[in-house]
Amino acid sequence: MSASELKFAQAPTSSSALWHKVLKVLSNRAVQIILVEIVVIAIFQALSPNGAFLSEANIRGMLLTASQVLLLATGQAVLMSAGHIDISQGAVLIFSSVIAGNVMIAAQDSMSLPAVLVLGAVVAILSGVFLGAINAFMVGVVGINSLVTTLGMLSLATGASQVITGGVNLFGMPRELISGFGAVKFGALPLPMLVSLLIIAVIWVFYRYTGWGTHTLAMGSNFLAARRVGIKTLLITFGIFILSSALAGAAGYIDLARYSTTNISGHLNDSMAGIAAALIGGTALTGGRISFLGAIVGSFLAIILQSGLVIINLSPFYQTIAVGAMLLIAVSLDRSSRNRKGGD
Amino acid sequence: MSQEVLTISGLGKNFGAVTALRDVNLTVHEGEIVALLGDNGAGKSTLMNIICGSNSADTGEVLVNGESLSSLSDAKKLGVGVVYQDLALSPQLTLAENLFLGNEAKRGFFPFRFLDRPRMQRESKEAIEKLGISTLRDVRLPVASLSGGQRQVLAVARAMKWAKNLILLDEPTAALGPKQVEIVLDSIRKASDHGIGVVLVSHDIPSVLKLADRIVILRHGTIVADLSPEGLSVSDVVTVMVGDE
Repeated sequence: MSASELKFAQAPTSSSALWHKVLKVLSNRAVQIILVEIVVIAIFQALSPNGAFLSEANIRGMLLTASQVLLLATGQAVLMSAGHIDISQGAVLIFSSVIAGNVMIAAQDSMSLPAVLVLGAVVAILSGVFLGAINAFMVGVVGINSLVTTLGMLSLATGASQVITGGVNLFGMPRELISGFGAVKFGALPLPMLVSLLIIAVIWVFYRYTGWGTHTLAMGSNFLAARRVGIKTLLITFGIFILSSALAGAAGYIDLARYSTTNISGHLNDSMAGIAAALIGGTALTGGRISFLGAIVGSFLAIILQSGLVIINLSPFYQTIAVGAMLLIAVSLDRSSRNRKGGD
Repeated sequence: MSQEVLTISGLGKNFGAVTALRDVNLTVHEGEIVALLGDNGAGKSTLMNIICGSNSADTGEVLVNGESLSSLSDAKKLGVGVVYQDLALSPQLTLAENLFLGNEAKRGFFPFRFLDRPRMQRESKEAIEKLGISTLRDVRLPVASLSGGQRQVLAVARAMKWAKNLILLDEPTAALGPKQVEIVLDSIRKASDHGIGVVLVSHDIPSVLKLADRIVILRHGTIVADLSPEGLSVSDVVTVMVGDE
């Protein structure tokens, strides 16, 4: 075979290899969502009055909302990869913000301002850790299903927040909470968003590069097998439930930093947003599969839809319908593609 | 006489009113292949579960190399490799991840001890090639994509890789074709040649007769015969297994 014939013979092979690579990238759930998001953003930008959808103020608002949802979705994704779920995140967020808010109000006269702000963050996260440890105990030691456990915690934490506050949102927190954290921005990028991304990056590194991630996936894939090879399943159960609730606690602190008050009745559905984002992003509810990038872009999809529908003046009821429809479409597509491949 | 790797004495186990095991005594020496046979409900699986640390005994004790074994972590520490009947694999994880599950290779210093994936993939490939298997070349494939026979071979490879003193196999050839059965039997012989004691539960009596040094027969939760396979036929073994029933 001559050199030219050889080149000719190889040409289809290299182009088909390239095509395979393109198909592989396109089959990635996160990439698919990003493409959908680009289209949705373009539509909302075209339909919004004066291009308000991509205005700096709207982008900043979406990013601030995302800074909280991203934390919740990451916690859910990690739990779901182990075959668990946490529907108490929203209630934990409220409880943490109530405890941290009260502590900051009480401490602001006796401590320096930076110390009060740091104390508030630590208390919010520790409140989450405390509730997460209770969830983990009920699931790992008592043996109650995570859905039932966190349903109980949803009620407990909500009730506790209402009892502590008497049903009235807290006021009187240090003003610097907003000016020193919640409203700080770098261009259109709010500081809470940067903090959330940093936290998620650290979690991802540990999940991807240490035994913790593989062991968590193994628990979700085949719990008995994971136990039999000596994986410390109870320790991991505690770790992931505490992580989920600690992230909800951090989201509670961001809430205080955004509004300088608690929002006792405003977050009860936040867990659903986190679960939907993780599911849309390709994390399996039944365990054994996780996508951090998918959870991030999944969080943004719901936020983009909600913001866009408000800006183009559609009834808020349609937002809920749109997010529900996206979730069902994403999970159905995932199901059919896995069935074609032979499934897991 | 070679050293005892497994010593079981006075073992008993009840499940409520049902006696699953009663005064079981058994020893396995270095490099010895012992087949555990019995009819359904004879107590084979219960005994295997106790030896591998999955279950605890009500009475008696299990010693591996003279050290007491009563939990899964003891079994891991004492170098006991197990092939479970359900294989105990994680379908969504890769071959390499399954092979190293619970024994991951790491590099770096605490608290930054990160997984050494290239090393695990390399060693997984070597472990599989050592068994002479040509169908499991890509160790990055998820186990869900493997056939039943390939999964079984992977479970055997994993047990072989981590067994230092004793290997337990519960129906290791159940889902295999004739060629794969030979591969598994050959790898059991190799493990035995390296001084590892083998306890095997199987319904494949012809293979057991070819492979085992001793045949131990359980009936109604107790050992009723401890035979040399020499000169035994399948029907002889079945007769002892079922007794006068």
